[in-house]
Amino acid sequence: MLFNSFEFLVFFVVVTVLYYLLPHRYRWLLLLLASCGFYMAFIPVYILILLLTIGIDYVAGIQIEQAAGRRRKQFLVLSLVANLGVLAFFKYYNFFTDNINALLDGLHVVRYELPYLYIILPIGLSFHTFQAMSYTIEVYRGNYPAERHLGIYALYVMFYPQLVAGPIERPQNVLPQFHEEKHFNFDQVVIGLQRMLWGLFKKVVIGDVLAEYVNSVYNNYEMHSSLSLWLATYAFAGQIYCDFSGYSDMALGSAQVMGFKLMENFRMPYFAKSVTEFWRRWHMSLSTWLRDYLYVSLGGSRLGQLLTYRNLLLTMLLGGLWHGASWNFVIWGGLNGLYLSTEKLLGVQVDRPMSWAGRVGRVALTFHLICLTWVFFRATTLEQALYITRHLIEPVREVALTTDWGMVATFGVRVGLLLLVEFAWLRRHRFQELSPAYGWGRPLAVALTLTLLILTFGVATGDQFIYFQF
Amino acid sequence: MKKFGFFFLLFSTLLLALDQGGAWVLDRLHERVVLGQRDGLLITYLRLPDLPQLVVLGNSRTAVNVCPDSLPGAFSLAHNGTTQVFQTGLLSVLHQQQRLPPAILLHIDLDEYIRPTRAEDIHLLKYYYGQAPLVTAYSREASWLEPLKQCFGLYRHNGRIPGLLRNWYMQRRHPDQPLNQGYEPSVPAAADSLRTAYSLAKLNAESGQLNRGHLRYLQDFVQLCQQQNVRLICFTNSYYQQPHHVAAAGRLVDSLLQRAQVPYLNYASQPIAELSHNIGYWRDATHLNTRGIPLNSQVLARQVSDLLPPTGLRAEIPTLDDIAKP
Repeated sequence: MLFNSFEFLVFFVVVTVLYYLLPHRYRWLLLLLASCGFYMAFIPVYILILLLTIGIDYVAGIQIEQAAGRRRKQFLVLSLVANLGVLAFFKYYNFFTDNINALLDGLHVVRYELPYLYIILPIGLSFHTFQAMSYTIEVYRGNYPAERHLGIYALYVMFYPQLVAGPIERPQNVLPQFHEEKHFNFDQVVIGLQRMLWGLFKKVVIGDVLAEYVNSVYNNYEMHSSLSLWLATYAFAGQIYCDFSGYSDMALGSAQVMGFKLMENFRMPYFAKSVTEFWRRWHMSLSTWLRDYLYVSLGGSRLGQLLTYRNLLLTMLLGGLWHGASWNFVIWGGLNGLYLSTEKLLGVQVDRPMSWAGRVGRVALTFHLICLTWVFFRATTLEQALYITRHLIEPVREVALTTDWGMVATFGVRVGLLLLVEFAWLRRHRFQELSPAYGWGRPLAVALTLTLLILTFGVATGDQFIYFQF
Repeated sequence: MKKFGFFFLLFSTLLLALDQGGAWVLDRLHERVVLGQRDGLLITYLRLPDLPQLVVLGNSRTAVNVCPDSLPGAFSLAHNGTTQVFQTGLLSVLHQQQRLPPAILLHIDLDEYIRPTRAEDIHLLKYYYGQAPLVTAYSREASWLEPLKQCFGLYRHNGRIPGLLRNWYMQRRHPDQPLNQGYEPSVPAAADSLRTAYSLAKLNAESGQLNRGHLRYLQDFVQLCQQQNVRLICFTNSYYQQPHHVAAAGRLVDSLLQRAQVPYLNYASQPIAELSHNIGYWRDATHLNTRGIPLNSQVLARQVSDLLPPTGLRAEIPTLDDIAKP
């Protein structure tokens, strides 16, 4: 069930109405059943794997809290192995098999091929695995007590708004909210609904339209000019932002309608003046997860300059691998790690006062550096990514397809509209200001405009969200 | 809760008013615009004073490769990027509007039979949802919530407003322009041969595993033609060079058409030799340029004429302005 489908709209309305009709003590059960239903709409049998890891983590959390000394660590390791084991099996088995087979073949040592697995990746696996891991790590660190209510803990992992593509939550933020009794709050419901509409607008009116151009160029990349490759890469930068931040807005909005506050995931990342700042604004729930549980665990910046660079690089490489089991994602992460290390080495500061031209230049430079990494993210093979990267700089000699200016104009208008809204309004204001408490005119106008634009300009048969595959 | 109820009621009322108002304006515009492949061509056809003897249906391999002027009394309703579900839906629209021609020449793209079924193509005809029975039925199959979506008048115009406005503007600017009758020829260009070689390699790289999904729509098409006594001829255009999947897909289609006793001119299996040996005739592996189109159209016209009863002279082609007049 996709967020950008009418099926989800019906599901959401039914669950929300039932949620407010039921007494507080039964609400967790409703949300858990709804979340199970939501998850099972993809591949039903995979819920068994999820329930197994939930069971292990639940027991591990309590044991970690009760035990002392080495035993605590043993339960933490058990939880991590269970979570990472599932992730490794489903997501990385074929990747490693592929590489080992290539290595054995290259070395001509033995004539043997490891078998491949023909299975579909459980949806949102990387997201809920990391969320589950953050729970046991926080309990181990003593930052949060173990959850005694199995149903509430299961809901923490499975809460449907953020089950398949985040934000990757922390127990401190979400678990107490499941215990609190929520009352219907008119302002919050209206704000949440508007946020959902804004997210849907970004996905179906902008992201999916950009996707059409990106696909037309990337699927026939060898036939296009360098200009088309650049335009498609810019379009992909817009597509992935609208797709993922659109999803996040819908997740936050749908949770807010029921009174839950999830963590923010995006803060206008393409207005960042450095790559370091970009990562403070892009997929914030993952970047802070990597910082808190990986970078800091590796020693962070406490062990001297050289080790700091190593830690940054390693963190981003693993962050890349988290996205997908392919060398493209490893390189994507590696490039980001390299940017971050270089900025640290050069002592790049973005907080100091800067001229208007300086700011624009920095934003443009950062955007282009990020665009180069998106090539590896979007390309389906390493060969394709390398070809496109090379021809972004070196002109293509034989061009078979001309740039489709009609499509470029279509996406240009939509991206322009997005930039206008983000730069002129969202940069200075917050969704809270669309509360009906300040008068009904503004929220009504926003909701009507977005609904009408979605109805008339939205891609009705759009694809699923890009991040669902991770 | 009460406050939210009021807010929601106000929102719904305003939305309904704006939606219906907007849809009314767009519906009027839709009826006036006779330019453009997606709707204009169909409206043009529906308003033609005399029904053509033959209607050509298909995707871009028809719009680009077949010149309707080569065929006796023909009008092309070919639409780029569509599959069989669209053609069957379109036939249902013609039936519902009581504008079925005496004969139909349907292009069957064999590539469809090795690719996933694209049932969502029916949404290109969503304007006729609730009117044409097969459009309604297929749309409901594609999404069970289609009836709910169709409650919004603006949804009928989803994704087509910029095109509609552009066509309306062009039509006002050039009212004397003759109708192109669904023919979109492509002039030869320097990159044609490179594109042809590249696209042929891409075609051959496809899995080639047969998908029978589209057969069902073809079957419905044949059935409706038979019920309405419409003479149906099917054909498949040549490829520059035959991709590996063509033979199997051709046999699959042929078996259905043979059973229904529908003549099938399969130039993919029995290609026009001159086209297959000359890359200069091609824009890419499946589309001809204006060097190759006359040859392809002439061969097709000769064979189709043999299968059709003799017809009189075709009516004079009207201009855009003639058709757009209420």
